[in-house]
Amino acid sequence: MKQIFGIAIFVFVFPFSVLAETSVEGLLDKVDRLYRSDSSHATMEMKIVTENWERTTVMEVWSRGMNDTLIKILSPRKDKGIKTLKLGNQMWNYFPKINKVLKVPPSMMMNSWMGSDFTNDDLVKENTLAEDYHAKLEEHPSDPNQFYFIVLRPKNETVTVWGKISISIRRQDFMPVEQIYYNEDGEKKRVMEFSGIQQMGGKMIPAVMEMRTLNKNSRTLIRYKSIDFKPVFSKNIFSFSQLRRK
Amino acid sequence: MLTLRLAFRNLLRHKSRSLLCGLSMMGTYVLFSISLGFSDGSYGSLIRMLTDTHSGHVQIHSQGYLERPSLFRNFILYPALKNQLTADPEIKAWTARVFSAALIFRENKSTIARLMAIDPEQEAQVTTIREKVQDGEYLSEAADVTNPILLGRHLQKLLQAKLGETLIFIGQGADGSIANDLFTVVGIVGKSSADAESRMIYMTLESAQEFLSLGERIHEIALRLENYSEARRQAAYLQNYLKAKELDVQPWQVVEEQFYKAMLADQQGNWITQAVIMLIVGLVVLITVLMNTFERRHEYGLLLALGTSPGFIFRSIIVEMTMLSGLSVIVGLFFSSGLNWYFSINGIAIEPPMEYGGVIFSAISSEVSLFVIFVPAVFTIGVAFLVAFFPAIKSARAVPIEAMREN
Repeated sequence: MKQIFGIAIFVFVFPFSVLAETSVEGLLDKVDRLYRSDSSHATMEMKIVTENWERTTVMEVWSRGMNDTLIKILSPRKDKGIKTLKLGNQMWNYFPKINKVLKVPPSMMMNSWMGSDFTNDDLVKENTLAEDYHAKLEEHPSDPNQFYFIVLRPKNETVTVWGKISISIRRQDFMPVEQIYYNEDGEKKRVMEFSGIQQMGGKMIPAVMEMRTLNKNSRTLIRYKSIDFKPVFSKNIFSFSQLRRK
Repeated sequence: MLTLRLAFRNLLRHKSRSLLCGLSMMGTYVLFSISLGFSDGSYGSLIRMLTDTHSGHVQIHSQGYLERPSLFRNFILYPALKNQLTADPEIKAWTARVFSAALIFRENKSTIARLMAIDPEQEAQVTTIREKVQDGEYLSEAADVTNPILLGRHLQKLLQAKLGETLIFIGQGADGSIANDLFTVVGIVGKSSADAESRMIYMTLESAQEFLSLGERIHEIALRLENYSEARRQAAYLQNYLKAKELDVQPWQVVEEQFYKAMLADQQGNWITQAVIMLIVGLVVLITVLMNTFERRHEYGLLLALGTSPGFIFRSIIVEMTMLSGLSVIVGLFFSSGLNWYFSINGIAIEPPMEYGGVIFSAISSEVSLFVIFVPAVFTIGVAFLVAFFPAIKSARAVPIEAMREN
């Protein structure tokens, strides 16, 4: 009887749960929530390699929900204490050496964040793909049996430079593998690759992300050193008073 | 020899006439020489002004920097290069520089400014930067101040900054970081907002290298030579030495290409003025020679009647006119040299000053050179020699009885 009940549950419930997860919205939500929980606290290393220079930065990152993020640079010495606060769609940078908070204006949203291949806009809109783009599940061009393939096209009201974004997601564990950014002419401009999938903070996540800007011949490698999805921190950590605190 | 003696005797025979003709020729020679002197002198002082105020005579950059300046097109001032520049007897002084731009804040005011980082002592040996400080002190005199800067007059007015105040600088570091630091105003450069330096900020090389995360890297080396005319030769020599180091050595003519092209175009236009002056010189000499010979038609007629050959008449007129012009030029040489020398020291002020290729030009001055002295001399004597052919041929072919009647 128990077995029959179990089979019945398996037959009736499992397909619905798989369907929910494999819907475009479900997959996107998984990607959006990959590195977040209700809150998170992580330490990561960012290595930027360009034609002209190379730099490694260690950062501490706090996040709350999908909108609030605080990033503090721990090293190198010259940049130590620089903070970036993101509240909703707005961003501020704090520079301890000059004790100044600067709001990132809309005109600078497409500028590089801390010299990396990520733009300020990437940080602000990192978790709003589902809101800003029309998503369509298509057949993966090279390996449809292994990967889901989501194609995102911006909604009319979305302000963006990307004409299309494609995301490849592993079917076996719903882990994103590659995210490609195209311009309005359909040319490939940036590629973000996810790797180093491992258990961190109780969740399976890709611990390494590499963003390559194709026409600049540069790349930014982000490696999670630790992540805690149930951190304990002050409620007002995402505030200007905390931003200025050294 | 007989022709020479007779020609000389003829000049002395009519002293007042020879003096009058000689003065005319001398006057035109001096006029031409001064005209050339001012032309050359003005361009010379323009070049000196440009090279002394900013560029130096020769500059060294990383390949491609001159065409497309970039924070990342930098190079290390390695010890071998330092030693080479210091040991070269042709190089009087050299200085290293760094360029960038930054967002400057003072309270609620902000602006974008161009930064030029210098070695204060070495820069003062290459350019007139020290004299540009109108208020406050020069960078090397503010040794006790952290991150001292010289603020351009225009920026100072814009930011309403005062001496001793601290300004916030934000820019891009050479390692991709956000450069940010505090700098203290120790001096104000530029007399008015119109001066080129009044929109600049000068800082020390060390603080700029720290601010921009450049380490030991620089963007430019500027050299001062004995004379700006040596720039091309010295640049070619250094380029040959530095070829393997992927550095680009260029003379001021290439560094300040826009200015140099404008100057060349202006020089070509100036030759029209010089041609007009040459024409005046030629006409004056022609009139003088004609006056000198046609007045003596009777005398030549008589000589022909007495059996003097036409060839001798022809030769004596040519030699006499050439000799007269030669003597006029010798005397005029003292006047032209003296006047050109005087005006090379005491230029003539231009009110109001004019801008030429980005350089403020406040006076015109002359120059003493072999070109300025000898080109007009050769021209005056040459013209006298040539224009004497016409009256000489006419006198040599004259019918004696008619020539004697003409008087």
